[in-house]
Amino acid sequence: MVRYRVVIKYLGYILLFNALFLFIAAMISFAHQENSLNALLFSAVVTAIMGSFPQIFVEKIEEISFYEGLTISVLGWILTCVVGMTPYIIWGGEFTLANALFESVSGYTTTGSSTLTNVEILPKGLLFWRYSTTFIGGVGIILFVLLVLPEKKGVQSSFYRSEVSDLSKMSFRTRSRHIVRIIATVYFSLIIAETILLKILGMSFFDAICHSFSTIATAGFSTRNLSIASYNNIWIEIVIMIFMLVSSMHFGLVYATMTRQKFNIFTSRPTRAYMGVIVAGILLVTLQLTHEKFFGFGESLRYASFQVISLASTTGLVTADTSVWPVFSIILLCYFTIQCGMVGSTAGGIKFDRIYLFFQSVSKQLKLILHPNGVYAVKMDKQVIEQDLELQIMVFILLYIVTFTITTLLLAAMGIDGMTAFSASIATIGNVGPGFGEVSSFGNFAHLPDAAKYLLSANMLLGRLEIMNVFALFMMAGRK
Amino acid sequence: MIRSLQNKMVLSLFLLILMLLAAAVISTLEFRKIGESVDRVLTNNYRSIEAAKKMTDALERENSGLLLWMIGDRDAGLDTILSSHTIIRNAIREAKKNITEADAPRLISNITEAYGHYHASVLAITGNEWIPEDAKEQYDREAQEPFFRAKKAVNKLMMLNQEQTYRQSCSIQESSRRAMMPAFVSIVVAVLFSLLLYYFIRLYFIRPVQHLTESIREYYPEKGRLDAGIVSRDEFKSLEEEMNKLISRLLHKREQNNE
Repeated sequence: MVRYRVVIKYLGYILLFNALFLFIAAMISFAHQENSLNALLFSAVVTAIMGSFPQIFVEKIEEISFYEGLTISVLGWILTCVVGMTPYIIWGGEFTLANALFESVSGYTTTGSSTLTNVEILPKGLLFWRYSTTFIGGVGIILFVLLVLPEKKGVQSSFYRSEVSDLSKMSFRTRSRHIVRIIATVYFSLIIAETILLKILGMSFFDAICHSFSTIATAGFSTRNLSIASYNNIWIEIVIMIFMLVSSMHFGLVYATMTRQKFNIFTSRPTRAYMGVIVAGILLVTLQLTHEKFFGFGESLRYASFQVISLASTTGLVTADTSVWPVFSIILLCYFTIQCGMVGSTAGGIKFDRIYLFFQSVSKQLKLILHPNGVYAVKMDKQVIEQDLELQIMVFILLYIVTFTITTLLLAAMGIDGMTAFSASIATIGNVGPGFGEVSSFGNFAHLPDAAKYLLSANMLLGRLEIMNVFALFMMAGRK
Repeated sequence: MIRSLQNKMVLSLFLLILMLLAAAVISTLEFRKIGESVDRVLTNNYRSIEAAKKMTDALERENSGLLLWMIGDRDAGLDTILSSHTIIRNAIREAKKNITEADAPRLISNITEAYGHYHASVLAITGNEWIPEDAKEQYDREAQEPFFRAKKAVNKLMMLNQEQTYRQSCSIQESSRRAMMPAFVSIVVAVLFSLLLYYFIRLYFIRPVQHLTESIREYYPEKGRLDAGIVSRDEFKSLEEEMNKLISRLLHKREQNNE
């Protein structure tokens, strides 16, 4: 049984957290004397009021159930996305209702797809808000709330169960109450380190912090219309590549590496396999670009590395127009768009770990055909994966494929060409950002019909909530 | 944590009022911006465009006056030149008074310089008591170039103001949207707020009253305490406690009477 007053109270906390960032954005707008001040300030006030209202009535909560945690998690994301579009829609410009919702969902889900044709005309305050959504979405609004709430253990563990997948918990070799702190430590450390490096390499402080938010949250928003390509600076690209790659790895392992523990990103087998697949992808794309005489070997390596890491990590920052690349390279990039980063990171999509376990499971089934009485186990870093979890992974992959197939079909039914429809579907459900065809790396989603924007917004949310949570909530509501 | 129901209600209404006030302030500010934009368009840009139009017409007329003078109609020509000159001077003054663009002073200065040059050459030609034989050559040599220069500068000023008018119109459109949106958002949020308030009133006011009524209805003295199941620490809890005290006093009185 779900106690609605509890759900409302926690949704209130989520609103208050958003209001804090809206106020900061409003202050930036005020400092720059921009026309976005009123939109941001009003949104902040309204959000703060709606967030504090439930706190007046609802008493302190000692414990919440898993279902309540799940409801708060799913509704929290939806509510956050709706609140996030308020300053956009009040400010106007290119932000119609569909565009504002798309931009907000894209930010919070760290997808990084955009409907804006000219980002550079946006006021700094509004730009900051756009990046704040990626910053909040990177770790997840619920985990952020957990970090700042002085709530009881019973509340924290329910939230934790609903927000962090079982697979992700496996690589955290610590007690669950420390995990939120570990995630936050890694997240903030990476942001600070990247901001400093980008500033040293010549970016303005505002651009550096915005791109750090975008990279570590694996979002892909840029303050420039041409994304990272506009800087044409190989050192900036190298720094961003490193941080994109690290952000797409399990934060527990990144923390272990930072604290020089034995079990780290270099000793974890799935992580090594992940890096191996990325290196193979870079080499294949580089060789084809060189062979097809798109660029010389050096430039091919430069662009291929950036694009492969950007898509594999679900960031979506851009240094080259990939839509004109050879078909084989595009197919490889599409694979990385589907595969995505690792569990326990800020990346979205199927996640490499699931694909890693999927192949192990396939191998196990093949062995069982040959030796029906054999005992075989699927393992991840020496930990045996239980049958339930194995089945859950298979179901997740199946649901993922079904969802993006349906989205592709619906987009095609709206008159969108095949490549655009397919790549937009996989790019949004994987929270990657750019696709191919009309929504390619230097393109955007502005020209798509409003219905397509709403559909893709839903797709992004489904991807961010890892599909199963949403279906579980619907099933729960249906059963009730 | 606020325990008193009265405070909870007062605070809720205060929040609602605060939100409506915020919407009103933001809308007023945006409407004021619209007013300023309209003022800029109508008062300044429109006047500058009109002044530029007058300058162009008067320049053409002054040039026609010069040509009239050159073909022999000297008096009519001079009258036209003088009246056009007055119009141009007034129009330049008008344009100077309504500067809205950063580039406008430079353009007006260009007009003044080019027109001054042109008018000086017109006066040089018409200053003769008779029409010189090389009047046409003198016109080509001295008057034509500053005439076109002045006309070009006037056109630039007009274009600048027309572009500014267009931008201001777009800005008015944006401002009107920005003025309306807070009101629209407030309406939506106020509806949500009211629904939430209704939910809380039902949960924290009506339900305790119902529970109290039900427990009083089902109460019999052998039960001892009246338990309405109120977990909050507000006025209803106090009421429940007071009722229990009343019951114990009544029971005590009854026991005393029985004795």
